[in-house]
Amino acid sequence: MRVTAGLLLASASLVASATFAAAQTDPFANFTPVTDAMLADPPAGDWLMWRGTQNHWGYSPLDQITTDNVGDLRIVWSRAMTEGHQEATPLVHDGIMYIPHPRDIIQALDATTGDLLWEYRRELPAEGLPSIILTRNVAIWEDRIIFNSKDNFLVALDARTGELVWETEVRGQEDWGWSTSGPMIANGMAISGRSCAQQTGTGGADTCFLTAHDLATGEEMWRFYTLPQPGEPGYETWAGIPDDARRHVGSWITPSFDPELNLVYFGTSVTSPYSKFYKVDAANLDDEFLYQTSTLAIDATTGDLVWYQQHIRDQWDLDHPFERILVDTVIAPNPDEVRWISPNVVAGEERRVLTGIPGKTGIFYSIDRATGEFLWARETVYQNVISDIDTATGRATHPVEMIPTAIGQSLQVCPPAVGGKDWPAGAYSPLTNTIYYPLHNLCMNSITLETDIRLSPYVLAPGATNAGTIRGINVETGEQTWIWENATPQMSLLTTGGGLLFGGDVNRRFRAFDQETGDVLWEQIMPAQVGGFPVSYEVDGRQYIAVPVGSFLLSGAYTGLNPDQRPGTGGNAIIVFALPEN
Amino acid sequence: MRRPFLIECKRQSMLVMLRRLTSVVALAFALTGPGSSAFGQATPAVPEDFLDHVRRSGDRIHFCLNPASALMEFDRAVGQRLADMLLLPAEFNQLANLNSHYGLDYRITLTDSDLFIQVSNECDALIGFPNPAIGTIQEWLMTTQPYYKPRFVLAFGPGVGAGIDDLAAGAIIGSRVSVYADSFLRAFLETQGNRWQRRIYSGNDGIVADLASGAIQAAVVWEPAINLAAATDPLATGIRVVDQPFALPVLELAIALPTNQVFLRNALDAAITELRRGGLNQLLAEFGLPAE
Repeated sequence: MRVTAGLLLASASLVASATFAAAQTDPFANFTPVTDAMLADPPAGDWLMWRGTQNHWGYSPLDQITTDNVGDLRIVWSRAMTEGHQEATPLVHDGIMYIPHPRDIIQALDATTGDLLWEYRRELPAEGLPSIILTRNVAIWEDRIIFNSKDNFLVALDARTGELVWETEVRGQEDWGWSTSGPMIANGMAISGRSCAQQTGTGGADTCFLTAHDLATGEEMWRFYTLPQPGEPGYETWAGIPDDARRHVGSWITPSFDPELNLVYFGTSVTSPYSKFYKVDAANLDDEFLYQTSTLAIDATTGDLVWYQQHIRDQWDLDHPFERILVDTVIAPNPDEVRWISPNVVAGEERRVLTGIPGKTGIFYSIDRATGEFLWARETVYQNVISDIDTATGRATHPVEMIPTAIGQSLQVCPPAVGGKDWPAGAYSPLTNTIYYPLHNLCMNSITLETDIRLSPYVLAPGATNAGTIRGINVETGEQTWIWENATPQMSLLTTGGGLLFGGDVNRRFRAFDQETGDVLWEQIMPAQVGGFPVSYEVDGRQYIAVPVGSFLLSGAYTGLNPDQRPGTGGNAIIVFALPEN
Repeated sequence: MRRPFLIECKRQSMLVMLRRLTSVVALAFALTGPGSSAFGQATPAVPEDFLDHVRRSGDRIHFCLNPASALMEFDRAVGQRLADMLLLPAEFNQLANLNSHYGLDYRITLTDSDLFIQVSNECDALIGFPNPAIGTIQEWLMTTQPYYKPRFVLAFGPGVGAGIDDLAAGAIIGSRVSVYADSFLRAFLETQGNRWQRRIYSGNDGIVADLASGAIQAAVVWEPAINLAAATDPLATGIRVVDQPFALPVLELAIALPTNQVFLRNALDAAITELRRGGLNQLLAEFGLPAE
């Protein structure tokens, strides 16, 4: 007993000393304001935005951790997070980590220890919000942390203190829908989208929009309606149905940005109800209902639509809001693997492309990001909702038998409403010119109910033996370079300059893969589902890998696939790894 | 706001029923324990932090009410009467965060996760639960028999006529999107060579308002919406239910319970049988709702 007491006293002294020492050092002493130039070309040791860079690569050039030494990775710190659904991304700048928790809690942490530097807790209204609300990411600009709050404000905090600098109400609080993702910073503006009213929710067609706000003042600079308003182009594509019945085409993932073209790239969601027969006659079932399930290229300065490409005409809740990855590359699609190639493609020519998998179908596209010209597309996971793509225009054809026409119809829809691909992000590596994606071999057995198509139960796709896969797709050739399969679905990925690919799964495994081969080089069992986005950063010459863990919205759809696996729910925390210091 | 307990069944049979139901309910609480969240069926992936795991007082029934429903006060009265029959005090909690703006509606506009959390934490039973017209309900829920079955009806605006033959070619028939009744109207219009136009609405409020004002001539509408609108809008008193030229479904309002509450469900079923045998019509009249 005496020894224990002595140890406790010694421990207490050490803690007190550490606290005192920390108090003597201003953790923000080296903080430098984050300029637009830094955002366009981030310091290698920082992770300044959702996917690390404005082109959404999900790539860190840091190369201290390599394929040779990744087996030595160790946990260097971890920290519990607030309960709620976990889909968070940490940002890191000058040794400070900024991380959003559910319920609009933002923390600044010492990125080497996880020690709390400040915390902001937004006072949210008691009514009008769902019990479970999440924030995937915040943004940083100059000395401000910017985020979209759940009570529909754009909020700027002092990055050094966490104090509120300004807030601007973006949309009425009585309207259904939220921003689950943060803004892209472009030209001193915060540019973001949001979800908007479903058929039974409050708020009409005018609640579906993108916005840009001046970061110095919070003033709204432009607004673009993702559901066209009367008199706007695209309004006529809704088969003449009343304005009050036009619902839900939002944008719920952070856009990417090309500073040279000054274009910001958004993806959009679906209508509500998803299936169109609820609202329109047979002749209009396959109409466009713009701008559902599209890529939108928006002038960052004016908010004008420069081009759009509609990927599908949805009936099944197959959103297309996901990360638009921007790559400058030679294109030479291999017709043995790439099913749809534009006749205008000249093999070997260099293009500035927007590429990857923008939606739940798992279809991989390559589009000229300056003009919107369709270049090529290929399938990845099994899908039965697109029978063909017009290679001249990119317009999809949908099998007639897959378009619901009445209540009570049964359909097997592949992929299901959780993808194919869902919000967990892929990552591009310039080392291999390949994008790696977490993709699911799933379908849903659906029936058209009174209110909409039923989105479950989820089942394995025909011929599949595993629900989870990681696939590498070369952006030049469209070839699948490798595939790794796993019983449980995979979550977001990170590529690094060390030739590594990091990613976790629903069953608590976090792994490092060889980008070239897909071989698993390292694995760590985590305390919870790996719901967050992994990032890499460097402080004082040491490279870190950080990943938030915890269960996420709709994780039950995945855990139900493997009832023998019981990863549990909750358990939110951030786990940080590095190589031993010596 | 507890209303007088007016039940029309004979006193003798009532006493017999009370003895039977009381013992059943006591057994139900003893076996399952109120507030338990071990439903034994697939439940939404809700982090445990959101569930209270606090046992509610076992000597009363806690009902959840849907404040977005036009029938919430009627539902409260039904719940009170059922509790009275079971010799149990009733407590009522309103579901929160519904984000619904349709004043003449009955839907529960919560995500499955939110519904699970609130039912787990706030109540033994959710009253005012609309049985789906097709398909199944959540695996972790079960329902009692319906206690009220209001109709969808074809109704005409003031001065339009008395039957479908009075409706001029090209006239507009309003219909609520995403209700089963809408598909019946569409099928009917097809058989009539689309002689009349269908106009869709997102809510019953708009249908009733346009019917009353003459903006549309007819509508397929949930009948309680007409009665409730007429109570506050003099123009709506001119809306008339006409002879039905085609079949339309009824809406079944029931009580939903977690699947581990079998004994309580059986007790409520028995009480609902008694309510429907005598007393329901008077209650409907009190609230100005149409009889079945």
